[in-house]
Amino acid sequence: MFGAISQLVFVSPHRHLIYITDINEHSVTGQFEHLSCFFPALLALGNSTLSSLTPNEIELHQMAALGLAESCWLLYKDTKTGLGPEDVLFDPFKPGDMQSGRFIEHYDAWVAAGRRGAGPIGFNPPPKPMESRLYLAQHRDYSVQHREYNLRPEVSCWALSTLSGSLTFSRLSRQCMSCGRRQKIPSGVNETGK
Amino acid sequence: MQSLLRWTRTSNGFAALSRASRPESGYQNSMPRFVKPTHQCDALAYSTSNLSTVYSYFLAETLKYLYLTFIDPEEDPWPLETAVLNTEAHGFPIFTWSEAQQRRWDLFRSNSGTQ
Repeated sequence: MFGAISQLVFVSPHRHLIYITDINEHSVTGQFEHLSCFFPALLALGNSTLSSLTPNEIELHQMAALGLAESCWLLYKDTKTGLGPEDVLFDPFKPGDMQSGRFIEHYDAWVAAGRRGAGPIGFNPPPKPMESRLYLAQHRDYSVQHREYNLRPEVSCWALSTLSGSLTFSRLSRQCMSCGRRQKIPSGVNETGK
Repeated sequence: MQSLLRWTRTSNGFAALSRASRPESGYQNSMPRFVKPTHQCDALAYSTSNLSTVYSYFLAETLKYLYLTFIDPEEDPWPLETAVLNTEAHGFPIFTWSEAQQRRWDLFRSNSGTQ
């Protein structure tokens, strides 16, 4: 698990979104798939069930899970429909250098500096949804690769709110719950299409 | 959730979207609501945005996890202490073998060597 977090989890250059990507033939692709949003749930489940984890591992897993889940949520919030695209392509942390911006380096720096604030880069302050609906990749830190919305589940949203008894996922579960409250407004949302 | 209802709901089910980012040319806007397609092929003819597709995991996972996320925890039919959800969110109860079953099927013998 440490290998996945240290090798595959990156931070985006401007908004500091935390994302997990692929390595293909030794090169980092920068692709962040909707399907990868199961990963925060996996980390949270491990944190709450594995007794062999050290406190440091639990903290690292929790930070990575929170950051990744936040990015998954933001991919929904960034679009005009409010539904997340199938996959996006992130810009490298330093222009042209796909190896730059590994989350573990920022995490280590945060630990070395005495754990100030809510967490490493990407937590102080947490990234916000895009206010402008203009679809400019350089503002968003990513470009949309496959635009479909394939009705995929959000396991992490459920897992992080369900497992919050043993972990502090309160902020994220609050976001999830606010989605739920909006759903209950009696407005005939299905009928208008506008 | 609201977005899901708004953009994927069609006259005959929930359909995937071809563009999550730009809905302007979508099914919902281009097609008058009173025109009801009789089957999926008709929907496709009117549609530039909704795909004629509903994946099996939509019913198995998407709706189930949404339900479980927003339900009152006290009403949760599958708390994690009593149930496991597998890859496509099929629920399985967690159970323990009774002592009689353990004796009958020689469970754990290979591990402990004494029972």
